[in-house]
Amino acid sequence: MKTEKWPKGALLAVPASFWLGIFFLVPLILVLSLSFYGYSPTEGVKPGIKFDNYIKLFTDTYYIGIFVRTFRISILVTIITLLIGYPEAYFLTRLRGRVKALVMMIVLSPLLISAVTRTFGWFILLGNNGVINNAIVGLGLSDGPLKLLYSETGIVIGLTHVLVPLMVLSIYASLQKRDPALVKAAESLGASPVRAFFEVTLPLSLPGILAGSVLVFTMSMSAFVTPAVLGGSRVRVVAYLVYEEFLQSLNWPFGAALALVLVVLTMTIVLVYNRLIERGRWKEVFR
Amino acid sequence: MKKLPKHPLAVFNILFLAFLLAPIVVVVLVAFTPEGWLQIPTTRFSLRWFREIARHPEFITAFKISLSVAIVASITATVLGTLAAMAITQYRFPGRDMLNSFLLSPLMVPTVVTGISLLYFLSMIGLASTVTAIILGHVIVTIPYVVRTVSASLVGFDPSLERAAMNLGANRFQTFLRIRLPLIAPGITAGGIFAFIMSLDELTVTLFVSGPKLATLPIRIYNHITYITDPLVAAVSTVIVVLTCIGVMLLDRLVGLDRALGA
Repeated sequence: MKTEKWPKGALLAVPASFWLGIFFLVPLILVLSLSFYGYSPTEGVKPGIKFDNYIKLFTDTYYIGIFVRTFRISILVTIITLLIGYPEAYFLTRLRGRVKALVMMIVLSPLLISAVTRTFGWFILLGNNGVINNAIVGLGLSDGPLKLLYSETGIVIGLTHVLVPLMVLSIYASLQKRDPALVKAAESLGASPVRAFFEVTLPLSLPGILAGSVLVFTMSMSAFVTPAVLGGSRVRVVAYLVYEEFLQSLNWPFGAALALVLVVLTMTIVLVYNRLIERGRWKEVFR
Repeated sequence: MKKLPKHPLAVFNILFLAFLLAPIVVVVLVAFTPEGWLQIPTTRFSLRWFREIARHPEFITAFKISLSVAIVASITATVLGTLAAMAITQYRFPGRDMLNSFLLSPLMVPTVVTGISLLYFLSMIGLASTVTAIILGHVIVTIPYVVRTVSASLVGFDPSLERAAMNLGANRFQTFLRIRLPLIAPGITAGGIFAFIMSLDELTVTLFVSGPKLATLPIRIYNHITYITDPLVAAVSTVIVVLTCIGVMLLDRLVGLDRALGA
């Protein structure tokens, strides 16, 4: 019997595809062409195909500096979320029952609590008279308050907070899949628990580490709300620059070019990273 | 007596959880301050700033807009997303994997990019700065969550149950209503709640398409804290935190949080 190539059920996906096609895909393509348009403060947007926006973006050190800052923040956030997310994911696999459900709920809470609320919380905590600075000065660790708000440090803390749940989840998922007998085998063959961890558990969780770090890196590169509140126009990141170009300077074509370069750059970095890791020493765990 | 955890990572775990909860706890505490500035109350608690909300009609208006947008957007996204999830999980056809990635793609594209694209497109057709614009954007951003949640609940669905019902004389409509719907209803409800929470919190895309006059609650709060910071915003945020918690608990009951978030 020949099965239908196009079952009628496939039509169920038409409404959603239409919606996303018209309001998401088409606008994305339009923005691509917008990024080649010109702009003058007196005449507004001028259609045409020019590379001026891209040339400006890649030659002006001001813009390059903001791209470099965004990259630096994202790399730091990725490393920190990995360092603190791994032990937490490992600990989660040891928990059972209600305790586990409660811990899981708290781990996921930053993703679910309103973005403005949690960022406002960091705003209160990081300020010059905030809880953290009062504690630091009170304990005599520093003479004056540290500059946490409106600094890269503040943005890194805020982003680590929202994104670490994603890291924990993906590492947790890969740790769950590993066969506990493998660790026992290593230990019965004389490996110390530390060695068993580094030779067995860690390599087996590499896919989770890879997935988690790609996710966290991408999200940090494009994050808007957290850097806008904790850095704003004092510590600009690329997403904030796009926002300023669109809603304040009204230079839409340049804003579009900035946004597209951000996306392409992020995707390229992720692809290269994937290649490097999958070719490395542990490539067999990705099979 | 309660058993204490003995794992060496237990202390780390406590610190980690404290880090995650810190900003939320601080906001809720500050909301109860009797003072006029951002201070964590130590001796006296007051409802002053909650009463203050009533004197700021712009927050109430914004909340109403947010609520109506979230209701319309989450229902639309739930209908569209559920149908699409059925197509993807129950049928095989060419390009199915690509379709799945396409439906989830709004999660991969930065919200700033989604925001500028939609703004550009809508200003071409004269729809920018309207409530419709906000709803359109929210549906785009929430469809992936519905597709993922509903797909997860459909994967365990056994089609032979439906065949059994039809063999026993039920027609297609009855089968859908009596067999399939009750089995996948928790997944659909969870997808809907998820979409609702996400729509209520959406800031970036809304910021671009809503224009200077319209403001949802997150926009109102964002504008407020970029100019002045007083405990009023903390009080408003506390109200939202309570609402979100109720939604999240429902979500967890229905499908389990880790599944809803795609882990």
